[in-house]
Amino acid sequence: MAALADTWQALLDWYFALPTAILVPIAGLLKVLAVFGWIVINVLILIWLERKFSGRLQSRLGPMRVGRPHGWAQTLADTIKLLVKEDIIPRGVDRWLYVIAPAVVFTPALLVWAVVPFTKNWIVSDLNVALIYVAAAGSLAVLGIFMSGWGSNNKWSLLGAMRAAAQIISYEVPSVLSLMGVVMIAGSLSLQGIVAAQHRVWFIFLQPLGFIIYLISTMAELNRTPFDLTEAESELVAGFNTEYSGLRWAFFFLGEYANLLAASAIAATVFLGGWSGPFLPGIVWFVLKTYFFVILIMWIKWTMPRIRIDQMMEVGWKFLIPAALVNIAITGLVLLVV
Amino acid sequence: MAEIDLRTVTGGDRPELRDVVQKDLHEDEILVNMGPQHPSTHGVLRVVLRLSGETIVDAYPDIGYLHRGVEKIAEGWTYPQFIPMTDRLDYVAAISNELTYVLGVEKLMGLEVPPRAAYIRVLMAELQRVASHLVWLGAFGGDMGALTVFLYCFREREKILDLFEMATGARLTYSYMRIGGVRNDLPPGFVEKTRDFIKLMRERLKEYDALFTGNRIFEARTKGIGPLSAEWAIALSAAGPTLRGSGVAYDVRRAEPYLVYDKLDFEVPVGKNGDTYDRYICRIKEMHESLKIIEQCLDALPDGEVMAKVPKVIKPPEGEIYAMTEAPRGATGVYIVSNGTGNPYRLHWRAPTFANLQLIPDTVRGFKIADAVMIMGSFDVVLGEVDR
Amino acid sequence: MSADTWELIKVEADKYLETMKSLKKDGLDYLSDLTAVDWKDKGIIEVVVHLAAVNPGTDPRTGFGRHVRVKTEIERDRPSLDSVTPIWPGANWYEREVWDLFGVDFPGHPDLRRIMTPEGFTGHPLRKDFVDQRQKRERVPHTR
Repeated sequence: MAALADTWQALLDWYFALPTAILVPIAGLLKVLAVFGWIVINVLILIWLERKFSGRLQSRLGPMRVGRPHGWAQTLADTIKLLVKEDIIPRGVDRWLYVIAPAVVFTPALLVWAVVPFTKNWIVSDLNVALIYVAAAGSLAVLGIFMSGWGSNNKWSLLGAMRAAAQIISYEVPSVLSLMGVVMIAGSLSLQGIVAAQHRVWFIFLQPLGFIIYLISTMAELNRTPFDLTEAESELVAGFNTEYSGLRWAFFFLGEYANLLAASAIAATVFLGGWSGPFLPGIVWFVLKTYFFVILIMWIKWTMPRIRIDQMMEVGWKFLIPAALVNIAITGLVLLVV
Repeated sequence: MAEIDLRTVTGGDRPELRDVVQKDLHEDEILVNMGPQHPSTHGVLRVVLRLSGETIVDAYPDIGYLHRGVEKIAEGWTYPQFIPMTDRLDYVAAISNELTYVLGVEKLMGLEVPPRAAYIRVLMAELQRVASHLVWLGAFGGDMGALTVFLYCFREREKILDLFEMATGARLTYSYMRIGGVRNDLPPGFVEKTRDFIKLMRERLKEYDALFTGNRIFEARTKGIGPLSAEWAIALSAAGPTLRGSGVAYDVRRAEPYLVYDKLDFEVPVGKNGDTYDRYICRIKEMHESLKIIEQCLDALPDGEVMAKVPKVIKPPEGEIYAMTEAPRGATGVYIVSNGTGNPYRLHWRAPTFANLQLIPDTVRGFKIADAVMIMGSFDVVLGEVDR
Repeated sequence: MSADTWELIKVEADKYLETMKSLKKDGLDYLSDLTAVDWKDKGIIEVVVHLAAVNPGTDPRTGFGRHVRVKTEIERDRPSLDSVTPIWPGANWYEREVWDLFGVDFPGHPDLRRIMTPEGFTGHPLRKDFVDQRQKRERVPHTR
């Protein structure tokens, strides 16, 4: 035991003795790996959770067989299946776009985590313009979706991609606007700053309208029912990912859930006070609040029918954006008076 | 990028169809194959869509992917042999098909079924109607992305299938109707179980109402979508809830009552605007009416035989018959020509959805792809009886 | 069980279209069915049409009134009959089906194509003397 501790100490000493030029990249790499691990583990849990949760909603059990109790290993089994499947690249696709699109969809979900505070000290980088960075990173996913739809050389994929472009771009606007109220109250764009500003009362109570707008537009950006138009199974077969299978398809799947997790974490941080909370350590509060949003979004998904594309654009432009602007105006007035 | 050929639909087309769909194709329009493998064409229906953006300019249904030559097969089989085949026509409502067929043969032979058998037949047909409408409702929800409804509906349908299994021994293709009656009497406990089911079903129908009828998204997706005028519905020989949704109160059970329908009290629900929503409401109401009919049948169920005296070898006299019943999808008819031998000389099946499918181009024109899915869904297509 | 209740009208092929038009005027607005029967021995094909009166707004309790079966005999060798699709648009697919399966030509039909059989199919399967060309292919005998 003592020997092990000595070795560990020696390793640390060696590490901190390294020149800064090497030390910083290694530290960065470790952080990236940690975040990546966090995402993958959570996505595995989320997929299982979604299956069990939807199962319960639909008065059935969900996966039960692989891994007892309650099929905990089902996602693992599926992952292995997807990993060992043949990598099919259909004839006639635009090879480059087709191959890199899944990675492009997944990357933004990874990027967001660079600024999310897990606890007071656990944060990859406390960026001072974090919220803008989050919005910018979040809107990158549409690029990957459009690449896949265009590159697949399939009419249904193309239609899905067109929908994705229309949908995500028009919902990015209310999503960002709805966060502005929060920024005005907190006086900071940094997520740590926003968490600190909520030490007395959560922003969900100060910004109820902003919260609702954010929730709706986030669900639209995540492509989840009632806004899952880009892959609307019953309409577009599978939308932008019709031609994908195996590992590449798994990457889309991973990206979808990673995005769900990231959006929930942002919502928890901005509206529910993030890691702050009594008694329990910060990380527990953070996870609890994030999963609250995850469950909420899942619940809506499994209850609602899908909305039509033109109706969705109407909701976005005719209701959400004006409402978000009104919200900003009200917030500004109140701040001015108080 | 690789070229998408937007202006053709590939895949071993009939040249005639290719010519039709490509005729006067505008520069901005693309052709898209919807089906025969598509999640929401409910089987192997194929519709070639001519799109301008997401708007449908025109649609060309193409059927025949499930054509098994049932009418030809019938000519080589004896009359009783063909009963199991009718199960495979509209496989979602097998009992109703059997009923149509045996009614036809009985009329041809001038055969009278015992009253108990008649009541059992009506009971089964109405149970089948509820089951079939549940499948429809579930699939309709699925088309709209509301998968939970799908599973809810199948949960209740399971109960009906259990009842069927109890009475007939099968869950999907029953072969329960016989020429001259039904195969066996109701097993002990069936009546009580059915009563329990009716009670449960009435509760559950309220649940569907809560999930669907008042839902803003649902109403936005169905109201005013795919309207069909009464005149046009009649002109195109529409049938069943599709016809009644347009306000035409044509129900074979009322128009030309068979079995004991003239002794039963039930309403024929009709819609007003003939849109997708009205067709949905019609089916929901029909489920309520069917439950009412089942209850009356259970109350009035007489004692006695369930099979009439039927000759060992069934040889109807020379002649022809056109028998119609109101199946869940609409007026189903069978045209039998007998030449006095043991096999039908000619048997033709009038399938309600065959007629309803003709409505697709007229109803989807000008709507979006998402609407087309809903409209086609609202016709309740079962390709087994369309292609035969 | 009541026997067949359909009123039978037999009509010559050349008066077919005329009769149908007048029947439609008489209120038989619903084409329930259109099919054919191949009478090989008599050398004729009989086209059978079932018509009913379903006026919008009819009280369902009064029944659907008149229902008529129209029968027309045409030559089996060169079967041809005027199309009723212009009168009842719903006849469209029914006539296509009869064309596909019996080979009856319907002049005046807007879009007479095969409907059931696959592409490249020859012959009309519901004729009594139809032989599936594919059955002539050599078959591998069951090994014993």
